Formats: sequence, structure tokens, C-alpha cells
Amino acid sequence: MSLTDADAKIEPQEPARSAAAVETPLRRFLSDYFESRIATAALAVLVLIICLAVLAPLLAPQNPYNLAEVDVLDSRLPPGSVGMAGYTYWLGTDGAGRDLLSAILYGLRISLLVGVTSCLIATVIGAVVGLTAAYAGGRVESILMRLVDLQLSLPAILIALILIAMLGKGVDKVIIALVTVQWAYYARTVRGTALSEMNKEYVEAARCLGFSHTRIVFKQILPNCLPPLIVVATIQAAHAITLEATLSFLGVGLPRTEPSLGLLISNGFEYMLSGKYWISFIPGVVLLVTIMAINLVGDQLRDVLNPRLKR
Amino acid sequence: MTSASATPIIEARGLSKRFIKQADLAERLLERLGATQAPSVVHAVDNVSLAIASGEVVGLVGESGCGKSTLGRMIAGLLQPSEGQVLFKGRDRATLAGADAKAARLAVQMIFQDPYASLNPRSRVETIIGEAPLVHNLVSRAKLGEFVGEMLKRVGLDAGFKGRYPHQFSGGQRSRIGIARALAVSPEFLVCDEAIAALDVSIQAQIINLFMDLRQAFDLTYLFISHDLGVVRHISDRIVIMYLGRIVEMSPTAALFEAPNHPYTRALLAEAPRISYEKRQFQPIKGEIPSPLDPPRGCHFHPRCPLAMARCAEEAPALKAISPGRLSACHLNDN
Amino acid sequence: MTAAAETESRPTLEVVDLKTHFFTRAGVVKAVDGVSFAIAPGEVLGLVGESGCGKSMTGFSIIGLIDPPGRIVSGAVRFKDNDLVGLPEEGLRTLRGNRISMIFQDPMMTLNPVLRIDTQMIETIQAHRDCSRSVALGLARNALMQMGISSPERRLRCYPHELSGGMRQRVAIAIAFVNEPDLVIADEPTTALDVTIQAQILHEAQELCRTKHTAMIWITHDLAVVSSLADRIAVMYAGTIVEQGNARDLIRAPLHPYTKGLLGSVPSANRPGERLTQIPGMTPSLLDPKPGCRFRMRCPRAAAECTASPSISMPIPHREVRCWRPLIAEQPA
Repeated sequence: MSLTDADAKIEPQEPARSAAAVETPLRRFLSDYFESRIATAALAVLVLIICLAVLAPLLAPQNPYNLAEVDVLDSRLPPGSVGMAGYTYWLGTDGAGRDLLSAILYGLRISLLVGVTSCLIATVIGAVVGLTAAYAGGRVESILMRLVDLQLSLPAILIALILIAMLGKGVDKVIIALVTVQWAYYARTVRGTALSEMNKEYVEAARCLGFSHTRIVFKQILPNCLPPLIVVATIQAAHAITLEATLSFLGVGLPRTEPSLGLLISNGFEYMLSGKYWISFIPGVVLLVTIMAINLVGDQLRDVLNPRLKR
Repeated sequence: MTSASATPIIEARGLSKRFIKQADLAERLLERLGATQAPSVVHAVDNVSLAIASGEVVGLVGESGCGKSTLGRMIAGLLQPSEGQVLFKGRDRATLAGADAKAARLAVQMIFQDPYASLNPRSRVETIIGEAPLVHNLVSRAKLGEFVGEMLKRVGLDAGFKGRYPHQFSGGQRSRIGIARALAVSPEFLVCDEAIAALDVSIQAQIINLFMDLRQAFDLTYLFISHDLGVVRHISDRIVIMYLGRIVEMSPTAALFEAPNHPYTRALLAEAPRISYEKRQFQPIKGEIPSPLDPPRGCHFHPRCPLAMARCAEEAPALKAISPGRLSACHLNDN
Repeated sequence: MTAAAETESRPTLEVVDLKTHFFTRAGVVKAVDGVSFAIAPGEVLGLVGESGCGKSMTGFSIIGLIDPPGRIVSGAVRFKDNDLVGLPEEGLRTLRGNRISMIFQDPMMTLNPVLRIDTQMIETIQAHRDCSRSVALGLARNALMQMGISSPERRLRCYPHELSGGMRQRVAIAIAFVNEPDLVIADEPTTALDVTIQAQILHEAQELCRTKHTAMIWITHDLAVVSSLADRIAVMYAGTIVEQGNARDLIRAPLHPYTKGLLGSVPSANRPGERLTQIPGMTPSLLDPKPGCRFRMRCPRAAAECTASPSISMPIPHREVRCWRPLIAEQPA
């Protein structure tokens, strides 16, 4: 007796949006993402910013932290002016005579580096904590979630300030502070998603098939927790960058030898009222554009990855 | 299909499952202060005993709150019973260890209701079907592709589908993938928990035929859980009717439909919609299904039973044989 | 003889060649593609089909609940002299809940979870007539009693989450009937409910239609329910009605091969233990459908002529079918 239904050889209804024989979730996600023009533009801006930051040493006309290249007599020149050595300062110079364009490029680099690194580390820690809490349940979950609640109830700036005061200055110390402040968001997000995924029947099927707990958590549940995690990570990256800028502005962030955008803004602040606005303003605008781009990308990611909005 | 030995392949003895809502911090404080509140306990399954012979198809029917899904999951090993044992080929499953335990686990597989939630959306079909046999060394990595293709063919799907993702398939095809996943570990017993309820009528017919074909080809035993009496009648050798956690009647299929004994069974049969050639006047039984949090005393059905007596409110009827192979839990049979 | 449809009064609702299309970026999904039927006062029409056939979309189109990217492309929906297609939102709003109401599969689509039942029912009543709160409350109480809900005063003071699923659906149906509409559209209202509760609700719906002379469209995939409840049945497939007629005659001797296949796949129509007659294949996608009969890929009777889209014919009085080769030979003499 034949078990094959001749009818079942009929192709499944091809999802009309893609002619690819295998439409991976990635391809579907990408085509959904690029539906929004604003989000596409934001992504383009973000990619541009990242390229600028990564390639800063090659692109910047001047290394603003090499004292040999900086001429203090060129200080506080407005954008577009030509300096002593015949060199055009497109965005002007700051109080010490550094080319603002170069300083911004290098500053972007540090800002993004610190923001993204702390975000990634916090994601890993938060995801592990969230998954453990969801899968273990019971007392373990209670303890971990109370820790998360505690962390979230304390103001981020306060924690960061205290930590930096204890640990001292330095890029790594700032990253530690940012990670400490951020991991709890991820833990909470992942725990929520993991709990709802665990109730789904494919997890029950995995248990029926005799899979070990580790395999279920990492191969079944975790991949399905990634969408909300990615959304939170994107938005949190923006927060991290902002927080770092705030700390630097207050003078407790990164050291002067590795200034971020926040520090540039801080440096130029004293000149704001004397008409030399560009020293603070332009780095501020760059920071704003970066954060906005990240947030717009994050918004679109959230809409696209939200299963309830699936058409 | 007759079984070689008399040992039933799966036997549930006195199975009960209670879900107790854990009091949260506020309630525990209140308890300390003296305001005691009875903990909310859901008696999902109440002292159920059921033996299923090899090769048999047992249909388990009931409405919401009757505990059929909970019973199915206890038999499949996904839920730990609060009381009672599940015996696999005569041996208590809880006492098995090592290779025996694994064999017992793989021998009983489950087919789920929701074709959309029962497949991991991030895995390809090849992984969904092939991961378990690979992990349990039932097939080598080299032979995996061929094996998965063979499984797909068995359930009536094209072997070339193995590289695709669940979202590219229709509901009926996803059901078939779920069945292939269960078959891949060579089970002997399948628990089908409302496996076709979410499908269209014409697709249901295809899947029912598939179940029947697979039973013949692989000598499978089924526990077919459903609320649809028509389907259960078609496929089952024996039918078990549950109401609010207890078995109320158990009988071979034909006998049940010819002469239902328990008043609930009679009401269910009378009210089950079937294709009728006339416009019908519905004469339903009154009342809501009680909540399993607070089941009626005595016989659970007595508040809605048209034939209830005083005794029914006091004493829960025992499941007794009314004729060879037929059991029913009703005081009316005592006369 | 069919129900009072064509002979007595003017039909309550007349749908003429209704087409509702969805303009997605993947193409045009022709959810409803040429649907025509009429309902007389007090008649129950069963609109039957499987998922994706467009039956729910037909219901939504009639009551005007189609949102972009969908819209009614052509056709007319005549409700007592008004054409609902093209009626401005204001006009539709005076009709909805008042002369035409809808019951959804999920009662929580009707019920607001944060408002009490009495608040919601009074709101519905007072939106369409000028009366005091106490009068409205009395009407609400009566409506619940007619649905067989015991102790209605207590239920009125409940919130939706305090009621069981069956009870909520009864309340939703009571809300639909409270203003004594001329037409009720019920979209799979009992699909998610238990058998015994479903029977109760079917009983009550039947009673209400009879006593209030309300016309009803009962949309479902369940042939068994519709065969017991409806006066007339319309079978939908891939966006069109393929067969329409008196319920009893249609069930006994269907004209369209799809209807026959559907009736045959139900287990009770087959001998226990035997293989069920099954319709091979799957329902086609409604996206940019190809011309020709949409059922021909799965039809045991398909022939060369089926590559052209069939038009509606009436081989037997009062029975319409959309097929080049209907099953006339199998009709009773």
C-alpha cells in the first residue's frame, strides 16, 4: 500500500514575496525591513557613521591627539577658515587648536566602541541570566529576578558614577560601569520571551524526544528569543552611547587622552556663550544624528520582528 | 491487530494530577496573620486507570476541563503524576533507568494540536525531523539526509522539502512534518492530542487517512484525544469518555454508539453536530461545565444530569463493568 | 419549497457580485471575487467553506469592516433600499449595532475587558435610541434572559474575565440581538466552544431568529452545524460561491463536486474504519488567481472546458451552481 499521497507532491503555496526556493527567515526579515524608507535611510546613515568611525585614522586629515600636528595658534577658528599652515578646517577648531572634523571622527570611534562593546557584553550576561531564570524556575528564578528588579530600580547615572568613583577612570572601567547598568534590561526581556516560548508545543516535543536541558535551552529556546533581544540591544546601544557621553560631559567618563563625543561637547561648553558655538554644537549634532539613526533602526526592527504584526 | 502478549503496552494505574497554585508572598503573609484561605487546587485528573493493548486505537473524548490533555501528557511522560503510575510494557516507568528509560521515552511520542506552534520556527525541516535520531544515535550523520527524505515520503511529503522552514508550509503539511518528527524515533505508541482539530475538514480527512495507513504499516498504537465524536468513532476501536477529571464510560466503539449508558455520554452523542438532512431542534442539557477548581461533590455530572438522584450528590459512583468490556460510572446501573 | 425567500417580502439583504480585493505589495489578493446571494426576513443562510475561501471577508464587507490595503472593488450590498457599498461612515455607523450586527468568533472582540457587562450593553442600546439608563438596563436584562442566562442581574455586574468562554459568547450574542436588528452576521461564533455549550447557543440563536424574525448569516466551516441550523446554504471556495440552495436538498444531493467532496470527507459519512474520501491537494492561493475554474486542479470531474471560468447556472429550480459539469445525474428524480 502506498503511503504517498500523490496530491501532497503539490508545492506548498509559494510565499509570493520571494521567488527563492528557500526563503530563509533572514531574507524575509530583510525584505520586511526595507519596506520603510525612513528606516532604510536611517540604516544607511548608521552604516556611514560606522564606516567613518572605523576608518577614522585613514580619513581624518589630522590626528588631533598628536601634539606635533596641532597648532595652538589655530585655536577657536570658525568652520571653513584656513589655518596657519594653509590647511582648511572644515568644521573649525576647538580651544586647543585641534581640527574639529578629525576630533569628531576619532570621538565617534571611541563613543561607538564603548557603547557597542558594553552592549554586547551586557547582552551575553543578560541573556544567560534570563534563560536560566526562565528555565530553572522556582527559587532560582525568584532570586535572579529580584536582582534584576533591584538593578532596574536604581538610577543608571547614580550607579555609573559610584562605580567609576570606586574603580577610577579608564575605558575599561567605563565599559564595566555601562555593562553593570544595562544587563538587567536584557535579562528581563529574555526571561519574558523564554517563558512564553517554553509554553509552546515545539519545546514539549523536544522534551518528548528526549533532548537534554542544555540542548533545549540553547538550540530551541534561545534562537527564538533573539528577535526581541536584538531590538532591545539596538535601543540599549543608543542608551549606552548617551550615558557614556553624559559621564564624559560630567568629567568622570573617559580620560582626556581618549575623548569621546561627550568630552568634546564638554570641552567646548565654556565657549558656548561667547559666540564660538561650533566647538560644542557640532559634536552635539553628530551625537544626535547617531542616536536618532540607531533609534529609528531599532524601531523598525521592533515592528518587523514583532510576530503579532505579521501580515 | 492482536498483540502477541497480554501485557498492555501502556497502562495507567490510579493516575491523578493536581495543580496547586503556589501562594505568592502576599497570600503567605495573610496566612501567617491568620486569614487562612484554602489553596486553589485544580483536580485535573482524578484516579484514572486505563490499559491500552498493543495495536489498539483508543479514543479519548471529553470537553474542556475534563483532563484529557493532562492525561495524555502524563502518559507521554511530559507531566509527572501527583499519584499513580504509568507502566510501559508492564514495568513502572518511574523505576526505569539508563537505556531502559530512554527506550521507554522514545517509544511514546506525541502529536500536537497546533501545527503552527508545534514546529520550531527557526529550524529547517531537516533539523526538526533529524535532530532526535542523530542525538540518540539512531542514524549516522552521513545517512541523515537520506533518512529525513524517507521520513518525509512516509507522511506524504516531497523529500525535497527538507531544506525549508515551517512558515513556508500550510497547516496540513506542518501536521505531517510533526508526524514525521515523531516517526523518526521509531515509536510504538502515539498520543495524538487534538492532532487534527486545527485543520480544515478536507485536510482532516487526509490526515486521518494517513494515521490509519501508518497504523497498518508500522503496527502503531494510538491514544487519540479529541472532542470530535465523529472522527473518534471512525478511527477508534475503543472509546473512553471523560468528564471533569474522571472516566465516566469506557466501551468498544460500536457498542457505545448503539447503546450509550452514562447520561453524559447520551447527552454528548445527542448534541454532537452531525450532518442532518433536516433542520433540527436542539435540545441541549442545561448548565455550564463546572470549573475544575470547584467540582461538584459526589458525581461530578449530577447538577446537569436529568436523571440525578439524591445519592448522586453524596457519593461518587465507581467505574464498574456493566457488560464484558464495557465500564460505566453511574449509580443508575446499580439497579 | 424554499423558505419565504423569493415569494413573500423583499429580501432583507441582497448582495450582487461583490468583489473585495486586497492590494498588497506581493500582488492583488482577491479575497471575495464575485459573490451574490439574497436573504429573506427571518431566514438563516449558512455560508460554508474552509479557511481562506473568503467567507469571513464577505461578512466583513457587508458590514463595512474592510480596512486598507483591502477595499470593496465592485458590486452592491443592498440592505433595505440602501446600498452599503459607498455609504459614508456616518451612515454605516447608524446601521451597525442597530439594524445590522455582527458576532465574532472570539467574544473578546466584542467585549471590552475593562468595562462591566451592563456598561457595555447600555452603551450599545443608548447609542441607537433615546432612552434612560434604567430603561436600557431593563432591556439588557431581558436580552440576557432570552439567551438563557440565569440570574442576569448578577451577570450584568460582572466583568468579562469573570465569565466562562461560553457565557461570554452568549453575552456577545445578546448584545448583537438587543436592538432587534434585521440582520445578524455570525462569524464562526461556536467554533471555539465545547459541544454541549455549542448546542445551547445554537438552540438560543435559533429561537431568537424565529421569534424576532431576524435574518441571519451563519459563517462556518462546520457542515454539521449548518445542516441543522440553516434554511439555505451557500458553499464558498476560493473567493466565490460555488453552490447555493435549500439546505436539505443541497446536503442530500449536492450539485458541485467540491460540496460533494466536502460532505464525503466528514467521517460520519463514511463507514468506520474505511479510508475517508478525500479531496486531493490544497486550497489555491487567492493571490493573482489564474483564470478558469479554481477547483479544477482538485476536481475528479475536470475537463477541457474547465479552463474557462464557469458562470452561475440554475440546472434545478432554486439551486444555483458555478460549474460546467454539475452533478445533475445524481439528483433525486
